[in-house]
Amino acid sequence: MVRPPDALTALSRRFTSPLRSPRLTAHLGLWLAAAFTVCFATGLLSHAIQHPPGWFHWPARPVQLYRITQGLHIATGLACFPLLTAKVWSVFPKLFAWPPARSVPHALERGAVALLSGAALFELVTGLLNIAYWYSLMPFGFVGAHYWTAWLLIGAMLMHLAAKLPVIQAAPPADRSRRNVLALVGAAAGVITVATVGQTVRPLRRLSVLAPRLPDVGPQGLPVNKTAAAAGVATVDASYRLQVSGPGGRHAFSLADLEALPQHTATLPIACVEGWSATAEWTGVRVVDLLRLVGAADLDLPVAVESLQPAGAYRTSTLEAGPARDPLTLLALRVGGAPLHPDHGYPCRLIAPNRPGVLQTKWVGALTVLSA
Amino acid sequence: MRPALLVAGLAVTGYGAYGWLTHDGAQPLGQLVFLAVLLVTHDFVVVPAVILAGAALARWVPGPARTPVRAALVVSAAVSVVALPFIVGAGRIADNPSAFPQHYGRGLALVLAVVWTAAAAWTAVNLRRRR
Repeated sequence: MVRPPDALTALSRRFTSPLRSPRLTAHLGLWLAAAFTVCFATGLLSHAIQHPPGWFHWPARPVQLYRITQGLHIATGLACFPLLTAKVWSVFPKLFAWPPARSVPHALERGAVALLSGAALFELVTGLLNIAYWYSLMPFGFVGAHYWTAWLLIGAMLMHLAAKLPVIQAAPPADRSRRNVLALVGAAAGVITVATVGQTVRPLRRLSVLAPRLPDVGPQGLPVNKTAAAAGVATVDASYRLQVSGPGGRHAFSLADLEALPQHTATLPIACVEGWSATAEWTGVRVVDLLRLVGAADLDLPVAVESLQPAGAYRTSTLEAGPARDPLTLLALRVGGAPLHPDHGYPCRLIAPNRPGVLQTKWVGALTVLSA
Repeated sequence: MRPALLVAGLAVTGYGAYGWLTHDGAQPLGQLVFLAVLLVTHDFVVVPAVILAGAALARWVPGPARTPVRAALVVSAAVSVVALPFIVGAGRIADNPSAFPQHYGRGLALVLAVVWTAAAAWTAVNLRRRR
């Protein structure tokens, strides 16, 4: 066996912090495992809502559920930054262990550790870059890479748990100095949370001086993800017609026609996949009332919502049969009592309970009852 | 329990690796380079820097200030990392002022001011106790 350079072995003996211990590492590991599980579950959920497999159905209630799960996804991920660095710090001398692998199981164990740290860093950093829209740094598409790396992370985490279970079980209780390290890491995570979570927890808005969004900043006091100009939607004129089609026929509604239909008001959040959310009072026509006019109010059929925007991944969205007929699901013409700002989807937008913001289609041009 | 965890871990990793390499729009080389650069930077630059800072602190910062300064450094570093992309502001969109509406450099300065004021107060308490 080749001997490592003396400098390397000597180096690893110089990391002498008495704070490192299996107990501390196990503690940090369990915190991270819990956090990654929360991120994985909420992330899979958000993915399933946006790309639903056949068996998946997402209800319209509780109204606030998606806002909470996605707010949690982002807040938990951001809080993991100090945890992850502390975890690697706590085992740092082991990085220089010699020989690098003593056996095949040991090689697999170390491989899983490398995959786990790499995947964890990948998820935290790409997630942060995504909420900051810094896409030029990522030489790949964010959504697919972030989604699939999450599976690698969870797989590597399970293998790492399998390897380390005896260490976790044998570790003595934390003593005072180790509790201090945990308190310090917790404090760093806490400061990050307070500085950002106001983007969805409104009472903390003033404290969140680093929040990427503020729930009351934007046209009509509401944030915007894609502006009308960015979506390529021209100013809508009097020739606008909303096309509604179903088994009972086809109807075209001008804006005046829509305003003449019974108006309903609902207080609903816009909850973005990027973790911010804002509640507003929306007024407009119930989607179920429009479906009734094309003979589809009582049918168990989904509805396609199509935007006037010429292109883009979120040009259309599908309303499941149940939520499409929910009394809170509106084609909103107004927000806070005033006609929608173009950036909020003038002349009308979909607003439905418990639904990701990217699926709350703006500049709606057509509602089509689907056949299945 | 351990064999079950191992089998589940291998299965999930296998599924993840397959999707990682073959999903619609996958760029395996770009993904791999990005992951490797992060791993090497974190484990061989960031963590050693933390260790060096800790060693310097133990050597040069006097006893009553040591723990407060250590705590303030850790919190400052963590918050700065999260704030950095927003301070750089590469993702700002000219026609959408509601995205990143705050002055993030000033925001970070404010957080650091609070953190270091707390560290100074903590040091003062330590000094007082000592007398």
